[in-house]
Amino acid sequence: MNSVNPGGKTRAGSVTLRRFWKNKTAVFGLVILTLLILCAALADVIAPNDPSPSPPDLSLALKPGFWSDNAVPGMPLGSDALGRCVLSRILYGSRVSLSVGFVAVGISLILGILLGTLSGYFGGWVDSTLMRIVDIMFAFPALLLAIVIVAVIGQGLDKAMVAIGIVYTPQMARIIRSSVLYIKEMEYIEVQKAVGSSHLRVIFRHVLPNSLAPVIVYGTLMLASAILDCAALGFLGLGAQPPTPEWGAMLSKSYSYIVSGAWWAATFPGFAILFSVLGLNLLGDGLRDILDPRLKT
Amino acid sequence: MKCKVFVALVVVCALLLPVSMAFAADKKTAKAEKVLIYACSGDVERLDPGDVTDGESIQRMDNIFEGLVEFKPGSTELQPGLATSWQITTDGKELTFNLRRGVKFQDGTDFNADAVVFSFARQYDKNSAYNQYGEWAYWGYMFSDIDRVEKIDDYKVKIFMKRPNASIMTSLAMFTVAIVSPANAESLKENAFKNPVGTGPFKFVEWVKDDHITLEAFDGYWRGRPALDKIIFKVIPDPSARLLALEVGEVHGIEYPNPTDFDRIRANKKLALMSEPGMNVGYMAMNAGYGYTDANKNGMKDADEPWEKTPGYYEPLTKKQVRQAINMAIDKQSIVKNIYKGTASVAKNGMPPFMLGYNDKVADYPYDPKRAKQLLAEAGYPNGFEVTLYVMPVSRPYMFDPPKIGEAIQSYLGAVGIKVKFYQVDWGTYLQETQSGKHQMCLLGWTGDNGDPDNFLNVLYGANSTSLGTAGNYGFYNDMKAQELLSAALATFDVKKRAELYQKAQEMIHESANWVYIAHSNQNLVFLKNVKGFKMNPTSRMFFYPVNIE
Amino acid sequence: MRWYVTKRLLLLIPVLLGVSILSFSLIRLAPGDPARTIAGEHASPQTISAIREKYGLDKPFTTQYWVWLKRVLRGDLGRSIVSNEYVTREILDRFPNTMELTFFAMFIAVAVGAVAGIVSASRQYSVIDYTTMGVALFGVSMPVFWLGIMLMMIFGVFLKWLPIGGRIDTLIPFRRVTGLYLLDSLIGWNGPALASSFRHLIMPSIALATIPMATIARVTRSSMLEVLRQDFIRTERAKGLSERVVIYKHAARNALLPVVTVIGLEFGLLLAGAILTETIFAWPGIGRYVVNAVRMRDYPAVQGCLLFFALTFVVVNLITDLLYVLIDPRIKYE
Repeated sequence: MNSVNPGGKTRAGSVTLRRFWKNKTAVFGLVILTLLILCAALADVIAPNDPSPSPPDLSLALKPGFWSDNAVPGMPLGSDALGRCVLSRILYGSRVSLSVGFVAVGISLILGILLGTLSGYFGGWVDSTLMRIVDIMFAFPALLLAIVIVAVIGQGLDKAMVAIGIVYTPQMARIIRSSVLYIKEMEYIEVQKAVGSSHLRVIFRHVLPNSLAPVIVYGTLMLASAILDCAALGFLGLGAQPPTPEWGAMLSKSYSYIVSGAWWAATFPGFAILFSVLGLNLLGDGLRDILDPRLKT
Repeated sequence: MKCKVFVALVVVCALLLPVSMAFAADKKTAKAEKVLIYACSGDVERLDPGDVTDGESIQRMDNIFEGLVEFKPGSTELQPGLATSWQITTDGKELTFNLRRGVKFQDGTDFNADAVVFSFARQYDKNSAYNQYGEWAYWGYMFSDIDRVEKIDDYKVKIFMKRPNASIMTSLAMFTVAIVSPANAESLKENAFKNPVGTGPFKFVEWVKDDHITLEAFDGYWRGRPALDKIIFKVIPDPSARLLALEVGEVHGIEYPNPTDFDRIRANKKLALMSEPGMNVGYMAMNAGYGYTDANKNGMKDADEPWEKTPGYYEPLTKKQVRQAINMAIDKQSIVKNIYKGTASVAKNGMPPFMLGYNDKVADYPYDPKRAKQLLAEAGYPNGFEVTLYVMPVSRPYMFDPPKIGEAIQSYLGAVGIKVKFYQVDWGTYLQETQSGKHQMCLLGWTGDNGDPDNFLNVLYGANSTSLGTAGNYGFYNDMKAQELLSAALATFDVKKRAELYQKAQEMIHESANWVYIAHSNQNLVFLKNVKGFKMNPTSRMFFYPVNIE
Repeated sequence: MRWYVTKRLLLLIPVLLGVSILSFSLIRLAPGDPARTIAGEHASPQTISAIREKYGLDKPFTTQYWVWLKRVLRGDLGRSIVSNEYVTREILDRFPNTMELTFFAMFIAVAVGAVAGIVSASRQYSVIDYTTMGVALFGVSMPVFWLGIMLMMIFGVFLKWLPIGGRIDTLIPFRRVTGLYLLDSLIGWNGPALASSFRHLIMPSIALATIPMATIARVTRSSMLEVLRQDFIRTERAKGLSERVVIYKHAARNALLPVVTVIGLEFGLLLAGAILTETIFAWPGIGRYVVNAVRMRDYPAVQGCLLFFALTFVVVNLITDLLYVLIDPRIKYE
């Protein structure tokens, strides 16, 4: 942690900010994230077409984009198998991916804080049991666990959010826990306890705020993974359901048309996933460099 | 130091060897054997010809088993099969068959009247020890008019009918009543159909689940050994992968090519696209709500079997206006033009136009979303409603890409306020659940089995066919008056009378609007140019006996 | 040392127990009557009650778990609802397929990734370093199913160099011994089979290997950088040894130690990635099997797969941990 002084966040804050702007990876990542958020927010304005026109114009199916003479005016990236504009679907898809990402990470954050704080703060058998459970969850590959949870609670975008959130909880819990353990040893905490502040007070006012740094770093990285996992579930048909424009689902519906020559419907959504995840990974890496290089192990 | 270089060299060689082998690989190793590899879109459900209802299973069965009579290649006319001749009494209630002599099963046992009686009895006789091993759905649809089959002597059997049935002879050419080896069934009991034995040109070798089934030539086939030594039915679910496999010569033929690939196929000189009108119909069925439990398993609704709500009962769909509105909300022309890409014709009735008794005077529901919305409002649903559509997970001859059609329908219905959700399961469960009436709406269709209109109209739209658990009438159209027309048409041999009755029935079916008929699709297959002798059949059945690779 | 190994093995037991509890409860949470689900839609009420008795589904949760656990320990994972075959049989049939893919991918990931990381670190801040790390970053962000599709598109469809599905050409006579086709081809001295299996294996493995490869590259690089900074390297340099010796003989060996643990963790990602890769490349492995099972609500199969995956992951991690202990010189002197 940068600062031991609980009240000194402001000064450390401005130092951090300056270091941030100097770190090229972080800035680049932030740019991409901002772009993503803008796409999601302004989709209604920027998108050239309705992503799921109802009724559909099937005669526009699988038309190429701006690189070809056969292009449909108004669909720069071509159309998919049901005549829908690929670009518009990608733009609206950013909303889906971002919301899943934020909600999933949010869920894992809340549950993770609960578990991690209880574990780290109280220690003893509470700690051992909870960490055993976390270990067990780690024994399963993340995607598999998400798939099984979806098998149990049902398919759909909202269910996918919850599934991913649950799957990411162990990792978040561990992060919070180690941070809590570190802070716990600080002298001023002892002081607070001696003074008689309640546990809750200590946790909320002192322990948690100082755990912010690793949470931000890993939260960003987990957001990236969440977008990937959401796309994976969509690809397998277990997440977003038609007609929701979700990047992974768009891929799975369109890749059989590559042989017919219509490569654009499958390629561009993939690029969208790649760049979003890349941007978030860059941001996360950059933040890690800035906030605590020690976290790199 | 030197030994390190040596080690590095060895490693490099070891890595290069398989790489060079890989790229130098000659796929055409000199083969003494003639093997045909045919790529299918799905795997078999079961290997019992009496118990299967799906095209994939039927395909394999048709090369292992045969029946008393068969269709002439490419038509629905009959020719002798395992029976050399037959007589029917004038009242239509007794059929006598003279059986072919000298025919052997693939396990070496003789074909005779006992085998025939066994093959039939195991389906209808509840006291038969083998009856428990199957569901015999097709028996219920097509053969419930048969009372019993008796052996007269070793090479003569008699079929006794409960009622005269105009289409019974063509039905006997179906796979359901193919003759199976009793010896095999006795020795393997419930596992008999893990190793099927028939009299056909090819015998079963192995079934590797989800991958392939291998058949090899039966030397003792009564017509003479086939030209092919082996057939491998390979499962490649993705149509692009199938086409690519064909293009590079990994397989010799494929089914269900993607219509969007037809231009590519036609442009390829090494491929031969076979395309013919299909005897089929693809539709979306709307569950009108009521079926019955066929307690005495006689395939008919009796007075003591009351109407009950199906599990998929859904209030809006019980109203005729709603169903008609749904018909008008879907642009079938656009679907056939752009999704079927001209490989089908728009359907307005439940059977193809060239069938006996087709009613061309029926006026199809127009594509009129405005009127649809009006009807919905009149029916009490001005803001539409939510509904679940069952979507098939596999390609069928009448519908190449059900998920895509489902999405198109979702979009069309969305425009009139109806929100569609999808439900998908594996094919076997799909059939089970729809047969039990669990669906609200479902995509399905039918390929004719015997060229007779009864095989369409009675099986699919007759009230008797709304039996929960074995239903073929997925719209649950339970008008008994229409059923009377259909039963009467089956009982008479007067062709003109039959046509009249069927036409009337189609009017009634159309008015009730339990189905949105989408298309009658062409059948499409692609083979390598050097595969000769294959003939397409209106029933979509595949016979590889005359096929040769040059 | 021996004590450490024993301790680790003993610790395995509660983890495995927990894994089994989780697998069991997860499936029991599924909606609907499990007896009906297992018996199948068409079953008569008698069959359903028979199943309920057989599996003890009307008994309390803990009893059910106990019954189930005993069966599992005997190797009986139940019957698949879809195929009616024993789940254990189906998993064991497909297990070698997935293993071949995963191990081959891991091999590529480690070989390429570790080398890239070492080279990168030894030329820090050079063009090579930035390019490699840039590519690695791309690799980590890449959706594996998209990469698979792109590879399939380029090498399978456009260039037609490689086949796009399956494990081996159907026409080639082939005898399956272990289920690892490369090995079986060698055992059978079957050239065409070896070539064909290899050609079918390349694309899916490369697609699968990309993410772990990138991570391994990054971890190796940072580990290497740390090692290079250390005093004993300076000593080696001072001794007058050539740069190359310093790097490869001393630094690399030490840098690779933490990478071993990472391999264990990455294996989990590989297993997850296999699920997606197998679906695209029609690879008949457990990944494709479990996706199918989930889609068809084949709960016994899903449960069996869960257990299996977890077991594999736990075992692999155990092996890598033990390996680490074996190689790490510091621990040897304890």
